Amino acid sequence: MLDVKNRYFRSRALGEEVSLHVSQNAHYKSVRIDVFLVSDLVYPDHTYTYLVSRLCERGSRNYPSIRDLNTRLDELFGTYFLTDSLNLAGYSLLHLSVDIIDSEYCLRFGGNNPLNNACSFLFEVLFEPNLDLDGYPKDVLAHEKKIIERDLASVLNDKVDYARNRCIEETGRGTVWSVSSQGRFSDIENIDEKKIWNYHKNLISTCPIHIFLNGNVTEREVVMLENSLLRLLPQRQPCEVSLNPALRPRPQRKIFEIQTLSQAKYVVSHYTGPVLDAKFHAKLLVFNSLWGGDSHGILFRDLREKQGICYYVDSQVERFSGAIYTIVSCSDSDLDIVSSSIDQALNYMRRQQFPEEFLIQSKALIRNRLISAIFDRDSNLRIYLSSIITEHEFELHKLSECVNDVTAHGVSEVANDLAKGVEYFLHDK
Amino acid sequence: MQILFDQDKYLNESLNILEIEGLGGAWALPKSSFGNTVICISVASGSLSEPVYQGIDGIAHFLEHRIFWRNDKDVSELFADLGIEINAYTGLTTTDFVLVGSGNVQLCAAIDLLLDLLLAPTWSLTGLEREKNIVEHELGLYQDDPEWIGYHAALCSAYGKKRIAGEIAGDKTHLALIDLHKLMQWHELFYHPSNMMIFISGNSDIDRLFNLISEKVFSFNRDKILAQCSWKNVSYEKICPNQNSEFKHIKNISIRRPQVFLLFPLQPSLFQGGELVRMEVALELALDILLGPSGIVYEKLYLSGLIGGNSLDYETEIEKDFGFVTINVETDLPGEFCDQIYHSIGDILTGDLVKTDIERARKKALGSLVRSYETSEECVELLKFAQGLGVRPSAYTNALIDVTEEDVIEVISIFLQGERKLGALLSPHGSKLPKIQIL
Repeated sequence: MLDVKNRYFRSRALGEEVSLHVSQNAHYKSVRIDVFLVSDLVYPDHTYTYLVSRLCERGSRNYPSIRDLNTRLDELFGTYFLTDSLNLAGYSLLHLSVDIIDSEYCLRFGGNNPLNNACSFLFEVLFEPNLDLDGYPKDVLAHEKKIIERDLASVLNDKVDYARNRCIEETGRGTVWSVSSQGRFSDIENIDEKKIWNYHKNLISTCPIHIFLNGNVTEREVVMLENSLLRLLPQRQPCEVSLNPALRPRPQRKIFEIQTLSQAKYVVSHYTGPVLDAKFHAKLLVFNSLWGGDSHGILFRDLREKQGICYYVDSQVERFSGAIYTIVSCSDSDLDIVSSSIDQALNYMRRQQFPEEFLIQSKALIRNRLISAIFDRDSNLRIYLSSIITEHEFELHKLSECVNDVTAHGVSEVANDLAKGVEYFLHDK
Repeated sequence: MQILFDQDKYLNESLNILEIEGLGGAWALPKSSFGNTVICISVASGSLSEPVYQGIDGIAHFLEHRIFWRNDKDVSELFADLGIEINAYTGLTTTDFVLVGSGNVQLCAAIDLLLDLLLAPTWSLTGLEREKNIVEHELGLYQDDPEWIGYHAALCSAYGKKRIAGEIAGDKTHLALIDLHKLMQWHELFYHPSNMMIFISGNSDIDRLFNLISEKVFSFNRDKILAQCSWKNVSYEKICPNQNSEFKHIKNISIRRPQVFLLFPLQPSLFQGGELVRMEVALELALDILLGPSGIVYEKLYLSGLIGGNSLDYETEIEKDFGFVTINVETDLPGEFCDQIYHSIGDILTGDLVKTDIERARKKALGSLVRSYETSEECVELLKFAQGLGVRPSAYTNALIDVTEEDVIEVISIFLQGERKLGALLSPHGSKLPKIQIL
């Protein structure tokens, strides 16, 4: 019997809108600390948050250069350090994370317990970055802006990702669901070192902060982390962040973009409506498996195995925005066939024209994936975090139970309620 | 059937080893606290064997596709019935069939089914030509991936037309040569338990899986003909770089900025049998000292704007008959970047950087190694990686602890230093912006 209880987090408040979530378990050989600062997902703020995440990697008070900072991490037995900005569940998140190997192994390799030092490092990076008099060092800011500009230009390189992201952007145009993780360069082109430091200070004093500690840690180590945080946590005036509704169906659109390509990329969005309860979520997961998510899905069987017109076909559910995206890479000349075949396949799904055994297969696969996710540190954390910030409880084992109850009729109901959104054609000529 | 145990005293890991006549071997890392099990059946059937045995590029990969068809049905449905996911990948030396799932009953049934499919497939002409279309679409998909293009162009720069530089899936001309008879011949040659290894990690009952594997192998060997080749003893030449190799420049790629792929081919004649793991570890530390974010070279490249945030990647691939190091980057100044790298390699040998940095790099590598035991997927990858170097994982840990400054300096001077600049540069086409039309 798999013991899942100690995979979950215990939460406690450490200050105004500052919460610590701890999962003490011996299943991992490393300890992970994740910090999330939650704010509204709007331009230009989200782009500023992305810039702050980049600047956090450029140094802190005691480790002022990129080299000092990384050397420190290597000395702590290659502690992983990551900063990024996320758009999760309609919120903008500044994310910092360290992953430290368990003290048991450090001792075996002749070192000391690095947890205390890693905690101090993490909070120093967040609360005491490397600054000049006016804010961030001018040259560091200019350099990071240049890198962001280049990175944003390079999104064009991965054609499948590019087409998918463009379809997501167009499907959610004018709403928070169109905001991209890295933001827009125009937002930060003219920002100066003082303004971005003020923005950073505002983030740490006003955003709800969630800290996750996960691994084989003792109660004493938890207290040590708390003290390490509270030593540097500034005076706080927390702000409310607003919940965003899922996308509402809009008139269908077709968008054509020409680029030099070997194969065309076709992406289509369908609105699902809000996915708030586990029963509906379970039905949607099963639908997606029978649709393009798995190799027995109708699109895989029809487009790839029967018609032989593509190799790559996939579909993904975006639970929070309430949309499902279907992606196919095919010849330019087959774009129309792909588009009409997808419409036809959806009609089959609406009329329950899929074998009962496929439904059983999908449910079995999804249940196993959900069990695996319970044991996966990243999935578990993300689900717990989204439950907290959306104030909507979500548990994997409950979802797994709901998957058991999904019927062919339930799947066809989902298909019937889908409304086509944007068809994005990325093609060569 | 004999089960041995190999202990890694530093990492507190116990490798279970199944030794049985007529099977390449089975290695397992039991992990009762994990949420799933990953089983990889690795068949030593890769693209490097193609020139020697049939001369058809892509036949190993094509057979991987066809294995999934039984009685004109896609067999992944049979695995899905058990709640088990199946996938497969063909590489230079192996074709790997990977099962992911949980439950002892389901996993035993899945491995039983997979061994049946691998050892006794059904052959049919139906769908053969359609499968060629699918593989052509697969090849087309890769042509839109600049990293894929750059990687193969870099290999081509060093190895010319040798098979190592070509597409694993072959090309349209070679695909046309594949027929049922050739597939059956290839299968008979390579798909024998003696030419397979099984890697397992996760929460399932390892003894039960080992028993099942033993029974299957025993019954197969009782009924069938003797193996024509055994695990990775298939003969292909040691893959050496060409003498007249040159840097490749590929223009008009649909990317925004130039991408550089430097390649350092390793001379396999310099690999000394059991020393492969020491070399791999020394190279790993050498590359971290040279290019890792804690190093002086990285700092210089970063501050001078030659590299961006996460745009510098480097990787080593070593097996007993070939090896190479790749360094790739997206940069506006490819010439300056290459010069800096080659100068830095020279500088590292004249200064004391290795001496001052080796303990830092070793600690970092040990940290990474500890983490590679945290999921079933990573454990199986580690087992395959160690096996590719001809050692058990504990020997890899020991090599990392024991590697010396002299070892690191030696691999840099033998493998990374040199006059010949190899690799590829991808250049973007003009600054034409995409055309967009909305209906």
